[in-house]
Amino acid sequence: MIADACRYNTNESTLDMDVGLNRRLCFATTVCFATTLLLNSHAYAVGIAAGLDIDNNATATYSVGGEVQSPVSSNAVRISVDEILDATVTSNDGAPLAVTSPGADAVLSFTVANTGNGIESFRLIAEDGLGGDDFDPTNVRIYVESNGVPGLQVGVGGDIAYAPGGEPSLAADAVLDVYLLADTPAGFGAGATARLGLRAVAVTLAIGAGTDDPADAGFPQPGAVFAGAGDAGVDAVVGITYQTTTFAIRAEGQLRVSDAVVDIDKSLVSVTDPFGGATVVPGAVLRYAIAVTVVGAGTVDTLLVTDTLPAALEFVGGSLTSTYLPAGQELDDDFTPGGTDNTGFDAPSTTVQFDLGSVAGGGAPITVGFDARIR
Amino acid sequence: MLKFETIIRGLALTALLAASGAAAAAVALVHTVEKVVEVTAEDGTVTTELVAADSVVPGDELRYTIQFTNDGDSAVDAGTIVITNPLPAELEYLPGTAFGAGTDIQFSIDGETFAEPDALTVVVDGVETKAPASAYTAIRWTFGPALEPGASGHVSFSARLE
Repeated sequence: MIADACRYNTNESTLDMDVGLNRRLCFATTVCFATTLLLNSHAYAVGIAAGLDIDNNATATYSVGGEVQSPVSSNAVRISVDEILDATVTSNDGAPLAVTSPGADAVLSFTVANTGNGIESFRLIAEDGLGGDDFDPTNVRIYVESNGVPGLQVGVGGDIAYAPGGEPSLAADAVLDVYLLADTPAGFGAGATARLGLRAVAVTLAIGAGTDDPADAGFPQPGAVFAGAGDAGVDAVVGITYQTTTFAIRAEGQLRVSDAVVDIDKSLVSVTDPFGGATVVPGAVLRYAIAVTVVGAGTVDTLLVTDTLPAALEFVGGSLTSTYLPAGQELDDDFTPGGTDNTGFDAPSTTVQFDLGSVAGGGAPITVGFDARIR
Repeated sequence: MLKFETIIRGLALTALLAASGAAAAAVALVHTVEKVVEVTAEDGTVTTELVAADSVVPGDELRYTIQFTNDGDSAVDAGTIVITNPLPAELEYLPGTAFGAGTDIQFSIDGETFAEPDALTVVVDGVETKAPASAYTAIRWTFGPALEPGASGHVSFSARLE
């Protein structure tokens, strides 16, 4: 089972089902369907900061002819800490992402971590021509998390598209989520896969096309020293994460063509304030709609749409609606988790859920909705 | 005549000591540092080498050596040369690396009381246990023999940059 999240402002929906998900590009001003991220869940050991000088000295006491002499000190021996260039890239997708063929704007999610000991900017390189798969994704774009809302949003207030010259800067131990958007060409059947990788290379290395690929002769090896290129003018040293056998500075995700994938699109339909107007104030009732579309010739099974309300919102009883509901499901507020009626509102987890069961692809969107009141 | 010579010699020694400005400092310490690197030979065997510590990054192992020399003209008393090296906070002592021919080596957790490793303890969750080497904040060598004029020795240890 894959659990993903759709986030819109303070509200989010999730969708569980037994096929892959098709995360679609959406706009920050409307609705987004994006990956739930494991933000800052990694523990990185960060070393002593680049540029620090560490002095060490010793003292000695002794006696001559039975008389204690004045203590003596050694010279102070100094080491200056250089900048180690290290990073890790990890994929946040636990399973191949289901896509249609053709299809647009599938989103793979990665986390880039600066595991070096200095402030470093990173060139981001999408690897879209990898072998060992069935097709190459097209129109690959890179976005960096920049608006504080987990998952990819584009448009006004959304995340920033990456372009050379706009390399994100990360303090030592800092992490950043990076998204790869890709289209799937037409003509590929269910099960066809594509590999899509992301590589993060320290800008300090001053390497570009032709030297930034591990297959390139000029690709820096661990231990290589870039004199004076580090923080505060110290040397920069290439770290072990550049070792091409393990190559921690890259990761990859996978797209897989599916017979049926699910699109989910959440929107705020209306706002009704206590005074008959449409201002967003405490007491106002928000009407949400979630449109679920199964794309493709196949059928998805055990399709469950869930939406957990944030603390600021209160579910309005009796407000559930759906344009489709399988037998056994009821639009009343109560439900029996794991039982027959899995549709309703679960107060302890403040979660609205709709059990849509098996849905064949190619049909009209199923629109579910509910009201929530601003506390 | 004998008395006169003694006075002359005494004056000359006084002048020499005044010129050096180090009348009592018969023992001199010289501190050096090198980086320990692993070198893998073509046949796959790994050996360690000491290289200049020009480029040091977190995780590197450093070898510190303190040379002590008797620059005076009298022997230093046996058992009285005590060399102490407080560890910079950024360095972690690597167990078993302290060395010094003819010395007793002790360590300290608090920087004041020194003891053999087995006698050093820390309290973890209310239980007194043997202190790990990473808890050491200072190393002390006590040189056993007397040190004749012009003679020297050295002590050393390794630490890792955190």
